[in-house]
Amino acid sequence: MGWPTSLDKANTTYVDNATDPIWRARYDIKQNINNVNAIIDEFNIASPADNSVMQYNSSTSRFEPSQVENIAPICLISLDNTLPASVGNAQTDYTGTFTIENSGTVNTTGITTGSTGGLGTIVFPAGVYVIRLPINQTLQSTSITSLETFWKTSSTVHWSGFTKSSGFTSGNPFIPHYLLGSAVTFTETTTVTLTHRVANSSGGAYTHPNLNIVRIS
Amino acid sequence: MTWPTSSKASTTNVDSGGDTISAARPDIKQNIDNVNAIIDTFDISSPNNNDTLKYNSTSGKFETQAGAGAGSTIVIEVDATVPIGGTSTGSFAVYGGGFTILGNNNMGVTTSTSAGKSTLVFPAGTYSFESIVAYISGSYGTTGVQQTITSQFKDNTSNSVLFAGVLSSLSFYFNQYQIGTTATFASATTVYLDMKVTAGNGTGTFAHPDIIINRLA
Repeated sequence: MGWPTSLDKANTTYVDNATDPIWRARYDIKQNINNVNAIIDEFNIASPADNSVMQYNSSTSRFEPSQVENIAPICLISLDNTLPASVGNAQTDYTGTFTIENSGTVNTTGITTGSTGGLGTIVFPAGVYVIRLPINQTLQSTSITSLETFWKTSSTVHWSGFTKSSGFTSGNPFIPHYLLGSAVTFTETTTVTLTHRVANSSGGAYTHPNLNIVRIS
Repeated sequence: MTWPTSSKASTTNVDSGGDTISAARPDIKQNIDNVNAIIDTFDISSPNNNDTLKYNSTSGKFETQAGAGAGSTIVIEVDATVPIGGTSTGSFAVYGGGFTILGNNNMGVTTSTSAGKSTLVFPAGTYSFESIVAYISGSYGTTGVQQTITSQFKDNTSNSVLFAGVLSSLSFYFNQYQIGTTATFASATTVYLDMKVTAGNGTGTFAHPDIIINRLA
């Protein structure tokens, strides 16, 4: 069915006067019953709790009570695998996987993770997102001197992380900060993969921090 | 139409097998009117997963909004860059290059201009302000590249400073600029930005990082 439009609304021409022959209203009575049934089908208001809001569930195609009104639409995504040092400073595709740390009802962003073509993916519904790290990452304690990440669809980079050095110590010539923060608008469902470049003086790998993603529209 | 709380149809003439349908005509009409009022109260066109229903006072209808909770966070883009050294006399320059708001913006912040100033208008409430990412300027071994950034967000009526950006020296060659504060406005408040950006080499432009605003109360 679907929500009745203004064209579906029943006419009251044959029910608005005491002398109307009620049989002439049969069509409108039926239409009204159809409308009521469509409205019933649009909602599943079973056992609502205090502060519930009506939230659409595309699996059931109904609005259902939800307690998520006061939960910010945040998605925390971890990288299940490390980013290995790049060979010859080349960009390397991330073939590991992503995990949504707050999966279930508290992830109201609609973001999902998966893999395609051997690459880990993050799938965003159309919307506007703020993407950041939980904390400014200083790489001083590692042997990493430069880290770049490119979060993209095919060759289109949606956002990137980069390194900015901030000083000099005798033990580590530069104090690199890994910075990532961007507001990104997707006009349609978008699948994002990761390419990275890690310069590491002694090989090894970098454990990327979680992505903190807030959906703002 | 209004929600038919006080105009519910009676079932007196339709609750028994012996009732004559003609006697139910007024209630049939009332029920049609009520259903039509319900149809007109909602605009549920093409909902997506996790959408919720929210009232729009302009249309007078409950409409779908993306994701529960979306809208309590917005991003302010500072549209124009600021010349570095353009205020080398030491005076602040009022920013007039425009702001752009990203997000559903349920908090009601608006942009405007006032006598050449770009402004943000906040409803009464408590807000947090953060840079989307820290801004680090400087280059090891090159003097004069690090920038001295002073920003003041001021009340357009009193010209008092409501909050300011924070500049810190990371080391001899590097500075870090960021915003991280909260502010409470007892009444609707119009805010403008005063900035002074200088560097020893006095060249280039400064692009202010996006600002994340959360409404807390």
